[in-house]
Amino acid sequence: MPRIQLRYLAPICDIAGTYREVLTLEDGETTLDLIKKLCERYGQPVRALFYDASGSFRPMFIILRNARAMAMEDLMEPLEDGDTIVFVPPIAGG
Amino acid sequence: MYGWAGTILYVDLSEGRIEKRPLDRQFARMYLGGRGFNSRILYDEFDPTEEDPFSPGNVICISSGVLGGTFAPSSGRVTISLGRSPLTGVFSDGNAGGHFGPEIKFAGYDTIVLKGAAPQPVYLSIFDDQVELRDARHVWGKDVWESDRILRDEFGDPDAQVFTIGPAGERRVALAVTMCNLCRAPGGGGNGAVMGSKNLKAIVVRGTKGVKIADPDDFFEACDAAYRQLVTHPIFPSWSKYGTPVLLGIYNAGRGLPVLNWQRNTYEGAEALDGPTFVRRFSIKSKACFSCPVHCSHYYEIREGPYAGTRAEGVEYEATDGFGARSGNDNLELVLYLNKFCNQYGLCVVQASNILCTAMHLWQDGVIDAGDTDGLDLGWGNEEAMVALLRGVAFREGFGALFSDGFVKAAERIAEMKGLSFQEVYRYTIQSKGYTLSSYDPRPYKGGALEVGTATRGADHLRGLPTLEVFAHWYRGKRDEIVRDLGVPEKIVDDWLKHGLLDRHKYEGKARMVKYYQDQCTTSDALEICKFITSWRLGVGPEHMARLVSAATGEPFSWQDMLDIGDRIYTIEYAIQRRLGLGREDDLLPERFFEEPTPDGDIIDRQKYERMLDEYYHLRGYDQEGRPTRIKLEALGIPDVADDLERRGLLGEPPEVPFEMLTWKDWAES
Repeated sequence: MPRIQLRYLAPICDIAGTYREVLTLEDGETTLDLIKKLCERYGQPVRALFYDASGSFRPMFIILRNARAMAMEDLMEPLEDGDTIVFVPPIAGG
Repeated sequence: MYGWAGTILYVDLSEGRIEKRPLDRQFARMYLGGRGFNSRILYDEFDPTEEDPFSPGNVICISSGVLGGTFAPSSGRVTISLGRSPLTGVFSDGNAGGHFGPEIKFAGYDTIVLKGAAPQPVYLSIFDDQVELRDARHVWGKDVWESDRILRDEFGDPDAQVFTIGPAGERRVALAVTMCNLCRAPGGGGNGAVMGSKNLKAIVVRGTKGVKIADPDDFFEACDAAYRQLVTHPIFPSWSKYGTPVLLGIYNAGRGLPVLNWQRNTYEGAEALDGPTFVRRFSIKSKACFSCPVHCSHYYEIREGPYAGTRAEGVEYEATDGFGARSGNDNLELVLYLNKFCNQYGLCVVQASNILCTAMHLWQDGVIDAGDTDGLDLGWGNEEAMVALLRGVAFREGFGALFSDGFVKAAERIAEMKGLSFQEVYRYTIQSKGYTLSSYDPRPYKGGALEVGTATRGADHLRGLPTLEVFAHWYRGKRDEIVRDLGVPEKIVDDWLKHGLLDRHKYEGKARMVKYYQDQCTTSDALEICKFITSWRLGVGPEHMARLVSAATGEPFSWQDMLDIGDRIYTIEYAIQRRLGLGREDDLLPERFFEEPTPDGDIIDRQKYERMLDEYYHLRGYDQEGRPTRIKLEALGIPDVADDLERRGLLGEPPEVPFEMLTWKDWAES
């Protein structure tokens, strides 16, 4: 079963109380499955970051898999053991 | 007048003469206020043959914006501009939030113009129509915070706003700034040093007048629409809670964080420096600038450990990266202490942190050693050395004094000491036009690179970093979201999509995006609205701006007008810098960005950059030396600038191929 390294930034790190954790998935599970598990674990505060009021999937993050930005269709590919997933808010400036 | 206060205050410090001149309506309409007023006034009032930035002939302009003092969101900023900067040797300016800008308006002024030099330390006291120069010898030598308290007490009104220099400005340190609200710094350019050279310790202002609004009902609706845009934006909660410190973790995750003086792009200590860590460990409460619903700043306090008792406002990302990752330091307490030091003694955090990380890089490569540094070990993140070096810069003491005139002069001295060429030393610092780049790495972002090179005050993201390029991936296929979230007019978004500009690696066409962001950010500075709420991020774009200004002033403005005003100001600044001797070569990047790839292989191709620059100049209506042309200047309604440049032999050559865009108005209607 793949063990996924999760790196949290704001605001998930405050909701989860940690910058990083490891989540074990079933074989064949995808990034979308992973997000569902996070929503189950952390409830509405995290759900609201990925789904709009009507329940449509509208993440407010750029999602990185092993430092590469994922397109929407990539979210349905199975994850592999050791993958690192990061949820990056689309903020820039300085 | 509606919106504008209607008066410009001229102060001749040499003669002690104070004059109030009425604001010309046509001038106001063309430049709006803030940075726009300053740049145009300096074009007219500063003699470019005056070479010494510390001469009485140097001119300082300080302006609020046309919306300053109203409840238009985040409209309380202020710009201070210099005819000649001691840091860069050319025109420069700085922009700050807080409450000082609106208070100028409440006292009845749009702009303060300072000339000459007082024979002994003075401060400018403004209470509505009562304006006078007062003796400041009793506060000369005091730090920013002490001066603020003494002058406010003396003024007898706790609501008075104080804009003051500290010891660094008094000592004419080239990276000194003038501070308002204790911790608000219009950074860069050395405005504090020029204030010091004029023996002007501070400006204290209190106003009791309001700002007249032409159409209050429409203005209320325009403000309501802008507030709704902000507070319903998906990233508003994060931005509001964490402020700019949140960027450190984001840039680190995106492998774009400047680390160890731009040698690396990720930092293992990032979590210790990141925004959520700062807020959790040190923030006491959020803090807002005048009329700002975002309140992205914080009061902070260190309660234990060697820096216990450190209290200040901020901290911003520029400090957490500059004194943190860029300097190889993962001790956030030290960052907060150094940030407070800069505020209290009047130094620019961006420029000061650059001195530290460049000095440590020189040490790393053996260019300087303990024999040069008073025995300081400048190994990355060495706490004791960082504190001592910063203090030395501010007070011109010991090894630090080597850097007190800025890195250009420091590089000359180090090169001479070590028998090296200037370039062998200067290449260590990340600057253009003598101005340090903020904590941003443009190598992965080609539009960002062009923006950094063509920023009129030097390597500067605030002139118009194309932020969309950074998170372009997230907006692929989301045309309507770009319009909605970023407030970019539809026609412009369609143009970017047609040219495939959401690809950060692409050079061709990026000038289109850069010009928009620069014009839009320049208009933000003319309105003195915070860029964090505009198209730069939270989507109060040119259409919102036009509606707000039209309702406030009673003058009709379109979104195209807003961008054309930005273009006009930007072009004036290009003309100013050409008059001061800058040319195409000054619009290039720091050499290292052409020579050293990031760990991920990103680098700027010099030839492609040059072609991008050609494209940019053509889009702006300049010739290939970056000189504004007559046809462009006339289209912007400033033929007098064309006449002046022509007399000086600096007018751009007419184009061989017709310009695609002379004004946004014509382009939008084509």
